[in-house]
Parts: sequence; C-alpha cells; structure tokens
Amino acid sequence: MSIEQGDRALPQAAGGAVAVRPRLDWPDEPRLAQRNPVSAWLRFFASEIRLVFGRPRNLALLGVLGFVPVFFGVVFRLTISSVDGGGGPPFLNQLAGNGVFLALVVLTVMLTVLLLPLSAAVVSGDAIAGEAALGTLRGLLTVPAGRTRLLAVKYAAIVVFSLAACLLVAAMSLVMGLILFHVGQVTLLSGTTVSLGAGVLRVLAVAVFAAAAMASLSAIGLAASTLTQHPVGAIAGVLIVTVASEICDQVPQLSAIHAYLPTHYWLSWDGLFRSPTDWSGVEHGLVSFAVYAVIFGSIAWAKLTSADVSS
Amino acid sequence: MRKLSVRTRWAVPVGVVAVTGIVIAAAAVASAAAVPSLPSRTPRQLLTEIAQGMATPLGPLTATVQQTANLGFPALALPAQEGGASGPSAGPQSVTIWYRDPRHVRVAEQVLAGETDLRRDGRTLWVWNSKTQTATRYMLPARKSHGGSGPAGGSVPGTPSAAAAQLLTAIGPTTVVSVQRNVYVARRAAYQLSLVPRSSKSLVGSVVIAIDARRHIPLRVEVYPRGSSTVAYSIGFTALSFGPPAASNFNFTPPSGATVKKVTVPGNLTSILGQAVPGAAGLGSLVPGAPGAGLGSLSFGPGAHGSVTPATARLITGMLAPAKLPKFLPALPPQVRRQIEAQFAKSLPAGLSKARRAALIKAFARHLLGRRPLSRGVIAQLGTNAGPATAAPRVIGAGWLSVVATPPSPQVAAAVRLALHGSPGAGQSSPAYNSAPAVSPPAGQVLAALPALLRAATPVHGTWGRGWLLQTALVNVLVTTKGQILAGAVTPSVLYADVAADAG
Repeated sequence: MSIEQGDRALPQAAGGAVAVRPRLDWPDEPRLAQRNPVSAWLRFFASEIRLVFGRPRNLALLGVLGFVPVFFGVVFRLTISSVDGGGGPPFLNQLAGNGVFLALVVLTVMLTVLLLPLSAAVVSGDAIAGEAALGTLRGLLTVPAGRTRLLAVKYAAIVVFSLAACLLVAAMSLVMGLILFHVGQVTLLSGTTVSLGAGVLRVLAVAVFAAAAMASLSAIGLAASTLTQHPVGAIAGVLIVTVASEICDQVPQLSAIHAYLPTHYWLSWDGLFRSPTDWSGVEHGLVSFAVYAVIFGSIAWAKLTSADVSS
Repeated sequence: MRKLSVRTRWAVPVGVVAVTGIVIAAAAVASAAAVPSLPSRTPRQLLTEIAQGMATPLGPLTATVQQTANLGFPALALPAQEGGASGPSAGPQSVTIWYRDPRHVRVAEQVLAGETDLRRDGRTLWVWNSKTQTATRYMLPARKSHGGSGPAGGSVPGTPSAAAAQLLTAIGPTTVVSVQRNVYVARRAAYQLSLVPRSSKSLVGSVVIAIDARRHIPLRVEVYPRGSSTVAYSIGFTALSFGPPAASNFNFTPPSGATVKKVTVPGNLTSILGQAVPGAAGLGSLVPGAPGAGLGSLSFGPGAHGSVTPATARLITGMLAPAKLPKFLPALPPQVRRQIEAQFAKSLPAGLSKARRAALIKAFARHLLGRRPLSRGVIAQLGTNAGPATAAPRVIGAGWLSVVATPPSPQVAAAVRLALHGSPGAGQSSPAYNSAPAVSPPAGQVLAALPALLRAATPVHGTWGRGWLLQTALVNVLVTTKGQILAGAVTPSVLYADVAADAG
C-alpha cells in the first residue's frame, strides 16, 4: 500500500475501515485452524504484517528512519575535517577513513537519541491499545482461544518491523557511506583489519542486535498496550521507561543495578569489532533482552487473555 | 487454556519475575558463598608454596585482570591524557593479557567502543590507540636476555604476582598472618592469606591474598582500610586460562589510514618493559605493603600510554614513579608552565653563555610539556644539586609505615602558591625558592595534578611546618609549603613526624 492510498484511507480510519478490512477473514479462523493450523497462523501473520507495514504512520516512521543516515552522512561529510580523535559518538573518528563506520555511528546515535526506541514504542504501544481505541479489538477477541495467538502474531509482526527498521538504517548508512566516504578494509578497535565483506557482516550483526534490543523494548510496549485503551499512553510509557533506564544507567551510585536495566546492553556490541572477537557483551545483551521479553510478554498475555474486553 | 482463572493467568508473569529474581540472587549467593574444599594449610606452608609458585615460570596464558580502586579520593578533574583510550573514569578497570613469554606479550585495555593495545613481539613494541587511530612503534634496545630484574622472567607484567610479591616482603614482626576461608577466583579454587598490620598507625586494616590451590600463584589481592569491611583496592584475575595464545596477538601491522609514529628506545633509558616487569620500577618496589604495590605493577603498559590505571592511581604513580617515558605526561596549564619556566631561567647558573642558557630553557620547556625527559647532559649543566639522584622520591620508614617522599621542590612550592593564591611569588619568599630546581620527570605530572589535589586537601600546620593534607580511606598525602610531597598508607601523625625528621 502506498502512502498516497494511505492518506486517502486515513479519513475513513475513524470509521475503522483501514484497520478492520484485513480482519474480515477473522471469523473463519477457527475453522481454518482445524483444517491446517500452520497455514492459518501464516495467514494471520501475513495479514498482521500487511496491517503494520500498511499503516501510513508506520511507513512515515520508516521513511524518517531511512532519511536519518542520509542526513548524518551529509553532515559528517561536510564537517569531517573538524572531527578530532575522541570527540563525538563512538567510531566517528574512523568515519573519514572508512564509510562502513557510518552505520555504527548512526545506529549508536539513533539508539541513544531515542529514534529507534520511539519507532518501537509507537508500533508496539499501538498494537492492542490501538485496536481497542478503534473499537476493533472486541471483534478480534470474540474467540477466547485466539487471544494467545493474537498476541503472538502481533508480537511477531512487531519484531519483524523492528528488524526491518534496524536493517533499513544499516543499509541506508552503508549506501551513504559508500557514496560519501572511502570504503575499504575495516580497521577493528584492536588495530587489526578485516576485509570489507567481513566488516559489512559485522555491521549487519550489529543491526540485528539492535533489532533484538528493540524487540525486547517492544515487549514492554505490548504489555503497556494491553493495560490501556489509549495508544498514546502506552507509547509514552515505553519512552518514559527507556529514558528512566538510560538515566539510571549513567548514575554511578546505582552501579549495582546497571546490569539489570532494560537499556544497559543496547550498545554492548562493540566486542564484535575487537580481535579476537569478544562475544560476551552480545551474549549478556541477548540474555537480558530475552528475559525482558519473556517477563513483559507474559504480563501482556495475562492481561489480554483475562481481560473483559468491552470495546 | 480457556479454563484458566484470571488469578492463574496472572500467576504466570509473577512466576517469571520470581524465577528471574531467584536465579539472579542464587547466582550472586553461590559465587559469594562457594567454598572449595582444599587440604588445610598453615600460613607458613602457604607462604612457601607461593615462593615456589612464583619461582616457577608461569607459562603461556590468557587472562583478564581487573583492578578496583575505591580509595575515597574526591573526583579529581585531571587534564585529559593525550593518547589515553579513556578519560578518567570511576569503576573497575580491566585489562586483557595474552602472554607467551616475556618477549611476546599483548595487553589490551578495552573500553566502550575503544581500545588501547600494547603488543610486544621480540624487540618491537607497538602501542595502538583506537580513539586517536595512532600506532606507535618502539624499537627496544637489543639485550641478550631479558627479565633479569623480574622473578626468573616467569611473572606476567601487571598480574597479582607482582602485588603479592611486594606485600609478602612486609611480612615479619610487623604483621599478623593468618589463613582465611577458601574462595573461588576466576573459577579457580584458592586459599586466602590475610595480613594484618600490628601498628595502629597504618591505614591498612588487612590485605587478603587469594592463592591458586594448584599453581600457587596469587589470583587476587584485596586491601581493606582499617576499621572497614569495604574493599578499598583490589586487583585480581577475573578470567585465567593457560595455554599458548594465537601468534596473531603479538605481531602487528598498522592499519592503513592510521597515524604511525616510530620511537627508538635508547639503551641507556629504562626500557619500557623494564618498567613493565613487576616490581622492577615504580611504586611497587617503593612501598611494600602499601596499595601502591598493585598500582605500580599495573601502571606499566598503561603507564606507557596512560590509561589503564584510574585517575586516582595515576595521580599516585605519577607523583612517585621515578622515571617514565614521554607521551603520557598530562599537559600542564599554560600559566603554571610559564611561571615555572621563568623560575627555571632565574635559577640557572650565572656563568652560562647566552646560547647555552637558551638551549637549556628550551629543553626544560619541552620537558615540562611532557615531550621528553631531561637528558643527562642538561641535568649535568644544572649542577650537582639538581641530578635525578636528589630529585627521585625516596622511602622513609619501613614496612607498613613506609612513606614515599619527594625532596622539597621549588617548582612544587611555586605551583602550590599559584594554585592557592594565583601567583607563584605571593607570600614569603622561601630560601628553597631560589635554589637550584629539582627536575625530576614526575614533577610535571605532580604539578598538573596539584590544583585538583589542593582543592580537596585541608590546610594543616604543626611544629614540623605548614602544608596541605589530602585524606582518603587508604592513603594520606601531605604537600608542604616547601614543596615536599609525602604519601603513605599511614596516619597523618606519621607524615608530620617524617617531615620533621627529614628537615632535622
């Protein structure tokens, strides 16, 4: 669905047209599920993906995310001569020598200035509360056995969106880096070099790691989304959690709890750029993300499956 | 599923949270409470085993060493160090070590998105800094055998071995030695030896050394202040595995695009790894029994490029280390530098030729900038009084009450006055002020750190004179109006007595 169509569709959204249309096949779901559960899941998942990626707002978010690397690339290209060692975001000092590092700079900046967390919050906070606000949730929940599946499919679609957002940023950064800067062998933090291909692979691994971080944050957003009927409340809640966590992470007096904060490991992928590769940061991060996803996923599940939905 | 009650459903997230909390708590408790069962040892047996363990070459290994300093120093805003991978930061600092033999070593300090590496491959030593993208190659002087100054060349630089070796020399009538409950350090079963100073004038409450049960090497050294159960300083392995590391760790080719510097280390200068050998130089050999033993030993590679030790440790080692290589001296504030240069010019012998005088001043200015230490020739020109022998810090007292003292220095006195009054000449003109300056290399570092140090210090005076005292949990530092600096893990009364004895 293009943005133009979306724009035209938007006024109808008040009547629920956009959100409801993909749901028309839903009442058939139990019968389909009995016949072929896998294909029913896939159908449901595909319809959810269409919904998430069809929302004009989400497309606009992706557009902004994709534009940020272009903006930063041009800014850094114009100011690169004044960049000296040590200042600015990590890896900026290596940007002049190798455009591959634009992806790392941009991903770091977008994680710390909340652009990526914002997009994860919008999509996840809207997932259930948005349906409730539009009045479409009741229809979805008429089949109690479907609630767990509804949540799973919603979360899967959000994870796919997170992955798409992070990969889009990484890909746009790599393209801009290729256009604007020298590209060649990648110098690791340890001072050793790897081939351009290996360097790009590591950058993509960083993007996937960032997507995992956003998926974990999205679980918090999903839980918040089940607790309210106002998407804005859920979105704001996620952002408050993120900011509070990042602030706590900066306070040395709270060092005892740093490792348990949801945002603590967001940038702990730097071990991928050492020689020998240090996986410990990535491993700790993935465990932390998984634990948060399970905790808040189960909260969302408990709330949604036990809620007496009236709207 | 449909029949689950609301309460049952909410039990799931509660259960998940509870399980997570229990797992985290259990892991913490297990690591703290795990006591390996080992055959019992007397302190004497343990000490012998340590001696044996340290006499045996350690062999190739890969390890991570973590240092935690909680000395109670106020946050000192030290000038950013050129080439340092990180600014002064709180919290634990760790380095990873790949060690094959004394001539093949790699030490890496890893910070978030940054790394400083020191790689030695035979005579070639590379220092790599990722923040500045700078690779510096040091060609070490050829020497037939290296490691004569270290314990049989079997000791890894910057490991707890060095710290423990220094601490053990303090054992004697001054110390109560006992064996404590066994622990795991870096997943290795270890005995614990506790050293408690008998003197109440020592700030050290106890020093606890964890000793590997199989190889008898120290795995961790912890220093507790008197009357406190909080570790003030600790250095120990957090990971340790034996076996040859990959050869790729030792050889290095600067990446394209990096700034490459080349330095040939002259034979007469203490080689970088001479400093690196634990206990061979630095605070470690100066203050047996003091926390500095650990600081000195860890300050090596880092000393050479200035980042592994935290700001506080850097302050102490910088003040006290007798000789260091250039490059890691922090920049002096310009106005302080100019004042000192003017003082230096005034203090030069009267009979010098104009050109010679200019050359000396230039050399001195470069020295102050941290570019290079004064050559022996320059020092000789300044007369016998100014040689490094008189300028080097020395140790007063013994054992736990050792105090490291620098000789009275007009530079320091001037900098103190400047820091306090804004002018080096304010106040009385002391006789030391006009005497020949002491030009010990650490003076630059001392002077740079002085303003911050003095801000945190309190003025004190007594029959011994006047000065400023910086008190911390483990170290007291006294700066006198004569420009003398004394530091030790002792009560202030010991410092005062030492000043009085020194003057008398």
